[in-house]
Amino acid sequence: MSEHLTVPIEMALTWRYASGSAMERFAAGLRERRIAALRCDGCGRRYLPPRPLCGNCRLPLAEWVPVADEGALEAWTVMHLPILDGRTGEPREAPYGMGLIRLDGADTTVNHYLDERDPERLAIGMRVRAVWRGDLRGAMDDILHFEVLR
Amino acid sequence: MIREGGMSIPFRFAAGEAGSAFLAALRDDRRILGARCRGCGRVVVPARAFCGRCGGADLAFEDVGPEGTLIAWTQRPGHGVFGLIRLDGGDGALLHRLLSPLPALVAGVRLRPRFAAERRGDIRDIEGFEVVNGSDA
Repeated sequence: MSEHLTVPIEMALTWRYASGSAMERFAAGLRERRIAALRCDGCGRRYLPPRPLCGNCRLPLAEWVPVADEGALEAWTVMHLPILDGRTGEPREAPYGMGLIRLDGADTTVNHYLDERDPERLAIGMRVRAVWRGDLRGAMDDILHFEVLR
Repeated sequence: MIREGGMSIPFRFAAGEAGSAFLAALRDDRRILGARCRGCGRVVVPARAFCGRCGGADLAFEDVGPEGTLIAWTQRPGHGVFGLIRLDGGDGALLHRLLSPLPALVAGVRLRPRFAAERRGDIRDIEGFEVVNGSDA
């Protein structure tokens, strides 16, 4: 036996995700280019994306605060493997930049794509701004990526 | 709010030594390959590298079928009918698509494979199994 075969298989996964009330309100804001975080009464931490409970204090979160669509790059990487884009279900063409972005008015970071993929031109602390989709849908990918402000 | 989502995950399944022999036999010769365990005599289909019953690793490939007997079937609306088929000379059952219309599909009926014209070394080199004319359960 010398021949070793591999069989191409495509596994299709579909799901229905119940977003919960906090995420629902957040997504409705995105449709109007509004970003909002939930602020904890106990420790003051502002969560983006919003979540129902504070991870530090275990208090329910209810106070919405506005967040800018600009912020600072807390970390970045350049991806060279065309792994699946969870937003589309299709592989994203590599290389591409990704960043952890702390938007002005939030205390947590969001993970998103960057329009820059040259490591020489990326640095922690850089200012970035959201690039919005033309036809807003009320979903996380209403923000296509973040552009680096120079 | 409920969000609909989906993704497709492409990958290549490495068939291994015995699996590759099974698929190559389908593709090249339209033969269905089982493996007889020299320890307990069981003939596993598709061919495997070891015996799942006695754990033995001393197996010899041998042809089974191509005809067989329908053990059980189920229908998946929109996707077709699937059956467990015990191939002549083999133990256990092979899960595959059934191509004959439902009224003919009763447990015990005789089946034969229909091979695809273009075969690539894939279990779908068998398009499915159809009832042998004149066969009664």
